[in-house]
Amino acid sequence: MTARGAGPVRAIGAEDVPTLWAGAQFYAPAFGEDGAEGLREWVTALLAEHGPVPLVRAEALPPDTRCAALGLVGSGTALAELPPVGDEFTTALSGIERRLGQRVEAVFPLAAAALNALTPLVAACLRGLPLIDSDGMGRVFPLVQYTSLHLAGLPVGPVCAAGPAGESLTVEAASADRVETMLRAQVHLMGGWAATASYPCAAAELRRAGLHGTVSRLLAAGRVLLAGGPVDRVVSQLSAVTGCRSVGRGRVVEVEQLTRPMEWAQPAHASTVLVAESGGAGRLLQLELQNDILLVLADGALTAAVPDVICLLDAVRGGVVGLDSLGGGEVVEVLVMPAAPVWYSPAGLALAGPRAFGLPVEHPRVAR
Amino acid sequence: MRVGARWGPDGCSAVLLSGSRVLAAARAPGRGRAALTRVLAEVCGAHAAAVRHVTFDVGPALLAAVREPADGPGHGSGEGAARTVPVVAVRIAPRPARHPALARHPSAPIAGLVARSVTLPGGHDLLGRELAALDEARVGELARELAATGARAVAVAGCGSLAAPAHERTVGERLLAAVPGLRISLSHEFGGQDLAGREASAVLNAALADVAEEVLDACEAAAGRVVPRAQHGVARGDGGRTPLARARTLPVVAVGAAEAAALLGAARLAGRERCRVLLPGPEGALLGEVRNGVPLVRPGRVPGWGVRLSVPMAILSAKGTALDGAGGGADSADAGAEAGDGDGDGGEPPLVVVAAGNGHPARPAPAAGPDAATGPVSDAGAATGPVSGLDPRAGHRVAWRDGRVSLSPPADLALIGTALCPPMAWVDEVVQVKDARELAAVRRDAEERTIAMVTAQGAAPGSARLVETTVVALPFSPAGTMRVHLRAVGDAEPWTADEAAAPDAARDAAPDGSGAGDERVAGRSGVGGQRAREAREAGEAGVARRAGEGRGARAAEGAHGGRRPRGSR
Repeated sequence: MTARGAGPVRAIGAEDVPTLWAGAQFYAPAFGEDGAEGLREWVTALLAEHGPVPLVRAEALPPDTRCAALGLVGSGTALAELPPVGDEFTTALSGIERRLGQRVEAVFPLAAAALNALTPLVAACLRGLPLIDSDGMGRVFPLVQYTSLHLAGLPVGPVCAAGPAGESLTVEAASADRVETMLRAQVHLMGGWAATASYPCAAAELRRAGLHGTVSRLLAAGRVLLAGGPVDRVVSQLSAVTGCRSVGRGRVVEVEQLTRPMEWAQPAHASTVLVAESGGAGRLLQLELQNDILLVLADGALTAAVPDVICLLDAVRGGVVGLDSLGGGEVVEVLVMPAAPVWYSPAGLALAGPRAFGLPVEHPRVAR
Repeated sequence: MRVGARWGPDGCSAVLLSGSRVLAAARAPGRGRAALTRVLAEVCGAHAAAVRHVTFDVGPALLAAVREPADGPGHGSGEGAARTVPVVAVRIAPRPARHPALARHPSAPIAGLVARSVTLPGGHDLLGRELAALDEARVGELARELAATGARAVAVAGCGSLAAPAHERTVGERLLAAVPGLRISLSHEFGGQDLAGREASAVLNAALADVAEEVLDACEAAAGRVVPRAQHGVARGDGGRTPLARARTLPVVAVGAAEAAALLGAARLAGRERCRVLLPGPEGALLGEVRNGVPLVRPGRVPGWGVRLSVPMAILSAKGTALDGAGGGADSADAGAEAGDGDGDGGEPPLVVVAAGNGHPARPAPAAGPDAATGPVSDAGAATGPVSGLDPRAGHRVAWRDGRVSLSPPADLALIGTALCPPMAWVDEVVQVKDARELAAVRRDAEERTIAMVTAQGAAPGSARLVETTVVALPFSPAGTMRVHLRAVGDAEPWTADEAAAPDAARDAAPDGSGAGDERVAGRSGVGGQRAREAREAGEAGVARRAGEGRGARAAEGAHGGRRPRGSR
């Protein structure tokens, strides 16, 4: 049964791709449409050609099943400019298999959101593998070690990366931070994006350390978004499905770049968006960005912060507003979703909380 | 005075404006220069000598040709017989695609225009670094093949060509040298930071060469006969106006012009520089937006066709939160309710609700498909006449209530907007900067270039002004990587004495009493002296080269080299 039927999702077919993509955008609001159209078409063609990909729960697999995370490291804009050739994801997978001396028997997304929600389907189709309904982020973080798997002590590497120009490499280092640093530098030179295979692990380890149900929930959110309707109704339905809440609605009045000191080791740079709330208290919502929305201040009061998933919904035309095309004048609904509970643990906040992004504040949950 | 005219699939039509006041409207069945001549003569009447600008909406005619099969009912001899040209699509990339879905264009209608696809080794990344050297031997082989097979149109799209167009230009020059008269479209001329969008624009542009030539010849002949002293322009999908001569080599910019023009027309009639507009359509209401006096546009799907191009077009939504291209059918109740939801919020712009009627749809129906084709063009027996019920006062005095107004256009709203389209230019580029000071310098430079470009497009000196400035960080790219998007417009000419004496009545009808122009950003800029001269000279040189190289040759054009990925028009 693919996602269109009632009940648990057991497979993902070609007809599910639009729904999956709609949900994938919602959980990674930084991305617009850049690079997505070609990838969507390709994934759809592969699913039509090879049939639906089984979606399995980690606990349903034999404990020693060899698993690996498939992902796309780099920017969607680079992908849009330099489309995949078609062998990148299987090359990355083969690379990690050669390095480990074992076949990978099931794959899962590095991050079940944005383009990374689609990429493991490529390898699953081409290699006839099942897709595991789990990931390591539950959203998109900018660095490969920002995962629940790393928090649980699983090694990120070896990481095998394959680029669109036919280049590939394997990165191994003593620390996850060094893996990320070397990988990011090489991806930049490989054309701005690369397919990666990482986090080789057994199904039992993934069951212990992963975030579960994160693929199937994209379909639930996607169904709400594709059904459309007035924004208030959509927000209400999304809230029921995802637990999100609205912080406010207003017009973007300022988009400013390079607005604060930041961690230059991370991709992109700091910027600030100001939203003048329409109606209500007429507050000024300040959004602090670096890749994603990291912080929301309402009239100076901290309202939400990473690892919360903070998303902008277009309040006039509908749909998720990508941060890569955000301009003054847009009317947006600011939504906040809780991340996976592990991200609010002391270790989780230390790894991916506000201070990890150079923001000198405590997460509101801690502050309370 | 200004004229907006259209050669549509179901006939020709025109309006005559003084300021934004409609003086006359006419339409006639049939296609071709005779029908166009008749409607122009009808609307201009005794005012012909006072008409300064004629702007044509040729988008419906171009799209109709694309959507009709090659052996469709319009195929034959005479005007309207031109059809799309089979295109050889040349992609420049480090490696050829290994799956058919990646080798062909993701859009089926665009793929349908391609007779053959070729990948040549080469290409750059987003920032212009070479990923693979251009394989000159393969280029030579392709040139010989095309010469032997009699190819007529080629679209060249290279990875990273906005940042580094050299590979595209080299291929274009080599192919043109081998096949004189070959029509070549190079993707970097259309802007857009995605290869598929640029490739779609280049393929469509190349495919439309014959059709555009026929349609624009007719437009030029009709205008030359009726209003010989007027300047002739073509409405663009981004709400701007381009000289007719330039549209001959870049016809794709005219696609989707009617929708942008309808938004522009509604805003002008309502006297707002900033508003939302609810347009009636054959499948339900569509919501668009006007900011700083120009339609909100983005690279997007062609209305009524669904193909995504890199050239910007009006953003029109069928209903709230329906995702583009994936949602259910249009629902006017939803769209209206959603648009109305915001009216009570002070931060949202007022809503102009356009009523259909008057024999003129506010928004033209989508370009005709095969079923709507009318057969070989014949003007024999075509009846031309003024539009009944034209009320020169309609559409001007509007009563605002609760931030919304109903607008009953006095004539075809898209035609009114077509007549009002201003000269427009934009710059869209990806830059890398070290700090805020460098960003400010980059931004100033881009502003000056945009102002210069709009002046070169025909804006009156001193009238050019920026209407859109967007600078955003590219997520998950190296720090300091930003996309800079600027858009500028100008006045086609100083207001004539009669227009100055009849200011838009609508301006003082705006709900807050603000006049049009109050919301313009950045003011009128005097920038553009030397820059404009340089841009104009570059443009003129480009035209001269094209004339020497043959029809549609674009290989040598492009004054904007350098390392930054940039698109500009």
